[in-house]
Amino acid sequence: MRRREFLQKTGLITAGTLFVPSFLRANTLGSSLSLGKKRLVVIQLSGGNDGLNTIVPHGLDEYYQNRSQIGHKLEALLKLDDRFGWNKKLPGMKALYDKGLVSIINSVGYPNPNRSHFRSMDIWHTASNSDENWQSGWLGRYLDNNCTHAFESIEWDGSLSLAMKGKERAGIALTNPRAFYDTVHSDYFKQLQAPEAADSELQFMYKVFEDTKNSAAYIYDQYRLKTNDSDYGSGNLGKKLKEVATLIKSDIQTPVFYTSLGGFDTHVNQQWAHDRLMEELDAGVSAFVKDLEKDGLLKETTIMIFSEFGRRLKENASRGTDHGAANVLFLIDTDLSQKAHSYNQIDLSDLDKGDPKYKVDFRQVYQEVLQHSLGVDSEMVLKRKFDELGLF
Amino acid sequence: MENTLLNKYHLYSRASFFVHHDEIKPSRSLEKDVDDLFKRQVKSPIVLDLPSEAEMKEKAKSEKKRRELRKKMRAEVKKLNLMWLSQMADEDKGLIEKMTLFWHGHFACRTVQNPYRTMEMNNLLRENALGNFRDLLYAVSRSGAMIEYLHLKQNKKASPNEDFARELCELFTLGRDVDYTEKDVVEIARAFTGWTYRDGEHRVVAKLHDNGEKEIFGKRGNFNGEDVLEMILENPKCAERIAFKIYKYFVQEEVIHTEVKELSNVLYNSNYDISSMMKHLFKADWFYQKQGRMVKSPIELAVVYCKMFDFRFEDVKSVMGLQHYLGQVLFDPPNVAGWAGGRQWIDSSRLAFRLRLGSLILNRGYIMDELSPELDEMLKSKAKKRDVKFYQEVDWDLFWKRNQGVNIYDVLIRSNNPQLKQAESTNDKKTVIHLLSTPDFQLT
Repeated sequence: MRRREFLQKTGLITAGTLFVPSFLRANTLGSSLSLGKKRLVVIQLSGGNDGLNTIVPHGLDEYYQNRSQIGHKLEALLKLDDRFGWNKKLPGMKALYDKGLVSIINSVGYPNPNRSHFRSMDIWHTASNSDENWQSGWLGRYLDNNCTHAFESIEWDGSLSLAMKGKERAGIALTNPRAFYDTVHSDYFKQLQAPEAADSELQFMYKVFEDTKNSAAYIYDQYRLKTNDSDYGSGNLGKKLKEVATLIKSDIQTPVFYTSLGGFDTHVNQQWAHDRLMEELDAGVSAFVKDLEKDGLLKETTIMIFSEFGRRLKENASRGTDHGAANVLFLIDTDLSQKAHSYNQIDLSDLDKGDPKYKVDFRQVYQEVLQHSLGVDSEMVLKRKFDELGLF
Repeated sequence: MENTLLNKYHLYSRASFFVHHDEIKPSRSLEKDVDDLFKRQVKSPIVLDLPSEAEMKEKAKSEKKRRELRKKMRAEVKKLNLMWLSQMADEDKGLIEKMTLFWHGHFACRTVQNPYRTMEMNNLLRENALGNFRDLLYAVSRSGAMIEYLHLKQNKKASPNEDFARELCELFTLGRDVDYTEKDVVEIARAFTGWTYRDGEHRVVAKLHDNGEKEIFGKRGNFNGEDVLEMILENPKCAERIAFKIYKYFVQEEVIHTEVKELSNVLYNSNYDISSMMKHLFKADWFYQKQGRMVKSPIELAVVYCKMFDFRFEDVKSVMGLQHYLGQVLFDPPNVAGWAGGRQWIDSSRLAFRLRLGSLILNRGYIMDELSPELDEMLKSKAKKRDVKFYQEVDWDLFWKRNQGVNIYDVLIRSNNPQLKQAESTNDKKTVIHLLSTPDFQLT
């Protein structure tokens, strides 16, 4: 099925505000996205990013007392204020921060932190308490409540994260729109029709099947609308974000994008490895922001960068760090309030089993992203209410 | 229940994985089929010949050696993964292995880093899979795998750890907030203090055990862990919870409470005899009305292919890739709640892969409408690496011999889809590949 036909079938074409050329959009329309207020792009740093070496608390004695080997010296930092400095490999992020586009939220975590990668990632993905085992993801539940098509939530990765799986709906994971299109558009699949009457499970399977075919065609069509020659460098994260930007520029009706950068489990000789990851993160994110800004799309985008946990304050004997708890989280958005910066705090004298304690529940951040960026009722998704932070 | 071929296919595909037509005895009653199925099951543990764990760990003195050890341990678990997967497709093991897989999801425990715990847990699940739930619950609670996974080792009189106590009630027996309170969880944790696992054995360390009086489920006493297990088993809600999960695994997603109640009554009244409950289920009329109503799990799907075409996956990388991609890696459940299952197995990306899997295994990824020898040659030379790693040389003659004289649609597809049946009515390779490439085949 081609795009036009698809649009007719799904009713998107009647929406009126869609698929307006971008030069017109800037003047006549508030947003290229009709479904939500903004697009959310989640960047997951897998393995447990060392937040203390990302936003370095150089003003706190405990930092240097506990990190005599791997601590970053003040002169090697991009100074933020009397307490904090940016890792020197994050000049692009710092520049965005200086322009007021970044919130640094320190000490983000949850009560009774779990230090297993799998378990803690689960908790972040499902937004459960640490003693609950939920089986659907927070963005999946957003899909369940607010969306109809798989393409409304795209993960640019090999497989779909739990975060993107709801009870009834799920997003789509792909790394190659052409290959994905080919996979589900063989001649045989084209003529395979949903049965006229069927049991509910068979109906469900065919519904996903049809949606998959339509979504694959739609994504591939959108993907081909724009060529993107912006420079994202050679990093893997940059490459993935470039693809995401290409799709966003096509005015794709996808409110949620998700991608990840791995390798943060730095137990051994972490300095070089962590700096290299910072470099990759910085290059990818700054190129992405610049690219969106160029097309006037940054104001319609929220970027959230998180990791499943931070790392222990005290370095280990192998010049690395072990699994920790609360951590730094970044939000990039054009509507950030100054209030966000008051959360930029950390207390290294009051630890939980050697790790910084959480001061902000990650679900407080989710809550505001859901309300502000995706424009939905956060309680439907999170099943709870959290205290307001006033990030936006 | 009617003694039809379709009912027999249904029985065997649910109670095990897949049945060829020639394994069916058409004139035998379904009751006898069920009894015979239970009688025939062969229990064989999965065993790797490894040096003792202590010996293995002894050598790992430096950080480098420890890293090597961890890598080796994970590699051994992958071997066990392949062994188990292979065994599931064996003749006369289908039911016992499917039950073991069910318990693996129920007593979900992540052991991918330790082949010793993996073998221990998997073999105790199999040993009790069709036995008594009481024995199973005791064995799991005393296993090194669970004691480590749910932090019983850290559960000490001075600083109780509630992890095991909570999941015991919420996931393994009663169900969330059913007949227990937060206070019970705290007190149950005290009853299990001192439980540990050392040198391959379960022990209760007296000085770490809290001997004081506890109040659990409204009763007061100096309870220990075993007392708690008995109190839980006494509550019919425990049998209800197990029956509920069995129903969702063997019957259908949508729960019909009267049917679950039948199962839980049989389980409770037989003093937790799992076989009695399962036989009741497979002999119930309502079981035969639920054909094609369940989504095959990824492991089930893989085993169906193995059994259907009589091959075993041998390449570790591709088997692990398959499990990762479809979302079910043996010995690596997402969390202690196990796999959500049902519709949650399916998302667009996974469905796309499932729809291609049959053609990948049998035809290098091509869903063919023309199958000539020339084309076949061409495909062999053109096929991409990624597409050929699942490819198996299968014995088609054997497949047809085993499924003679019936419509192949009925053997392969459990959903009722007259349009598809009509469109794919010839018994040839093309039809088989077509049928395996349908949403219908994802159901059982």
